[in-house]
Amino acid sequence: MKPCMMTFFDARSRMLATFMFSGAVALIQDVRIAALACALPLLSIACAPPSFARIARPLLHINVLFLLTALMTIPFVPGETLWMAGPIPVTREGLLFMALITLKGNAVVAWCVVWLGSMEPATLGHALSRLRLPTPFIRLLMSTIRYIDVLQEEYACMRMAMRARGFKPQLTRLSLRAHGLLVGALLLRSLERADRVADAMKCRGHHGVYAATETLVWRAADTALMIGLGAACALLLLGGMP
Amino acid sequence: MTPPCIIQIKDLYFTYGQDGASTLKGVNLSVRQGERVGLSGANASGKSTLLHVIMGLRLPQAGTVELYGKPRRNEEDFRDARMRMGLLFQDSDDQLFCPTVLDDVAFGPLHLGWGKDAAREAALEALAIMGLQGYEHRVTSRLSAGEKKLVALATNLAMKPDTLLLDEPTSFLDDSSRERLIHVLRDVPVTLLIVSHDQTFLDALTDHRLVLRDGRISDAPTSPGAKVEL
Amino acid sequence: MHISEGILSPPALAAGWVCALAGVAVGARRTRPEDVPRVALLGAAFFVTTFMRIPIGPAHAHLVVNGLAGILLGWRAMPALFIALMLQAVLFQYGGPVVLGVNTVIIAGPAVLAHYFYRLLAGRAPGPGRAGMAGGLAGAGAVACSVAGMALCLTWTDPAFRAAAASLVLVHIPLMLIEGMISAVTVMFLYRVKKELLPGSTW
Repeated sequence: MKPCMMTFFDARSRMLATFMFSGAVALIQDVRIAALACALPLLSIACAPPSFARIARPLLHINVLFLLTALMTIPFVPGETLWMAGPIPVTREGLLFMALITLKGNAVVAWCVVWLGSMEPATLGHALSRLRLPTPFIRLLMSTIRYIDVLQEEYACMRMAMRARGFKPQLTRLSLRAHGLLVGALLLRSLERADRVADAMKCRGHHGVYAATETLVWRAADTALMIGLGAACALLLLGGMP
Repeated sequence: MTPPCIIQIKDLYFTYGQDGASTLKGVNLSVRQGERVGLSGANASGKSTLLHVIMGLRLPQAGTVELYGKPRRNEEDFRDARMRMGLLFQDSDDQLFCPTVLDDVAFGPLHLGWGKDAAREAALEALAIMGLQGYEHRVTSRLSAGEKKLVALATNLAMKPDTLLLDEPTSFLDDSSRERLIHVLRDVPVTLLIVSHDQTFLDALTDHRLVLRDGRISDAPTSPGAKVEL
Repeated sequence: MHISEGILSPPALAAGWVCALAGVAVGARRTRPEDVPRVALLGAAFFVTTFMRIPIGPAHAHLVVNGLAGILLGWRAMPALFIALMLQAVLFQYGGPVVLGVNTVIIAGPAVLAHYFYRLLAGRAPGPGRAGMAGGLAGAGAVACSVAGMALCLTWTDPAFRAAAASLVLVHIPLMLIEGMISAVTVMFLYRVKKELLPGSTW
């Protein structure tokens, strides 16, 4: 079985680590430090490589966005012109500006894929609950997580039924109307199910959901992760902040 | 000595919505401790509604509901009864509202005030009774319909109820889950009221049979000896 | 309509979190325990609807329907959509952990506005036509506000983003119209089937 982060680290430390790293990266303003920061997700990928599809998709998505943004941003960053792409000046500052953004964005996305990508939504709920987030929020979170799959199935069924009757997603009035009905039907079913769930909760005496499971065990590796990553982030920030 | 009456319903009228068509028109029902009663009837005859009224999820327009010898008129009244009486919902997805199995099964006992360890014990015991050892950390959304039904019953059993109301327990159930259900319900020492049109299921588990027709309850044609007042 | 990680400045990110948490707190305060199933189920529904795609020319646009979320939930849309966005960030890496605050304000903020806009337009006891129109305008308006919010965040971070922000707004105009139409149809449908769900009722 391929090694993945969840076999070594508790979900809570993985979440905290993600926030720590992302927060640190957000504060970096120097391209060289940003490049250095990329070493951490790269190291993570080397230790626990995700499948190609898993990492390629979000990275492709984000980089296409960055490319388009670059085309519209670089010409407007004032500075020393390196060359002229037709009438448009490509400045050194512009390239550095976009390079900074691209490195930071990719670093965080890659980190998230490796450290959070394999997390079950239910585990996420438990982790946040054990991290002592407010109970009303946790109740809402757990209930939402629980019903996403159920509603996804209902949506898929309805969509199939529509397709069997000739529905095609198109930019026509008929198709858009069908989309509206699909959304309406999904919302209606969700609300009707919500009423039944409320009844079920009444029968068991409470509204809202607690997490009883104790699969999360904080180990020495988790403490080590917090300390190690904390130190690495501190070093990056000392070097990278203006 | 006749066993005490768990559920006593007199002259119950219940209507859905404003169109005035009554679902329950003068229902009388009496279920005593230890009895195992089956209720069948056509679709939309109001069988599920009756169970919901018994649990106080719907309040009737007329008539009385007495549970455990006490009249129940509002939400307050029904609260303590719900801790002793379990309802198995028709759609398990409505009843299993936590992300993992253990969360759901331990939820009831936790709320009964049993403390974390006792609740966990009770949950594991209930799962064992259902033959679901090892299911504690399974994600509910990934279970099959049969597994969900068994987990749903475990959520009821974990609260150690003395009465169980079952709403169409065998719909969408595969044969092995159905067998398991029969096996468990035969052994568990509770008063049962089962709404179902699965006749063989009712044959295996119930002593008396009732029919809900035209908004009223009567003995089922083949059921001998009426212990139900009409 | 998520902003990715790496783009916004720390002040913008911080302001995003402050506003998001404040909004979520207001919404959570207004969610009584009995409301949890409805808010959760609708949050899940809106998570699912973001997988709906409409083809626009060579590309696809994902539906946002934050206007509808706001119409049905009011301030409760803030925690519901915050959760949906958080799950999208964790499960699919849309947006990211630090920019989640800003994304929440951008998407859920207009949802709350859409609620009040709908109530203003629909008034008391509207007919299905008027409700639909109000829903359509609120839906389109919510997307417009979200896009404007994105553009504002970008330009606040750095003036060099102005051109990018402007093209973002232009590119999203078709989506605004599409969402408006879909919201109108959905509101009319809900009006016909279960009027009590729309604002004006007690919950």
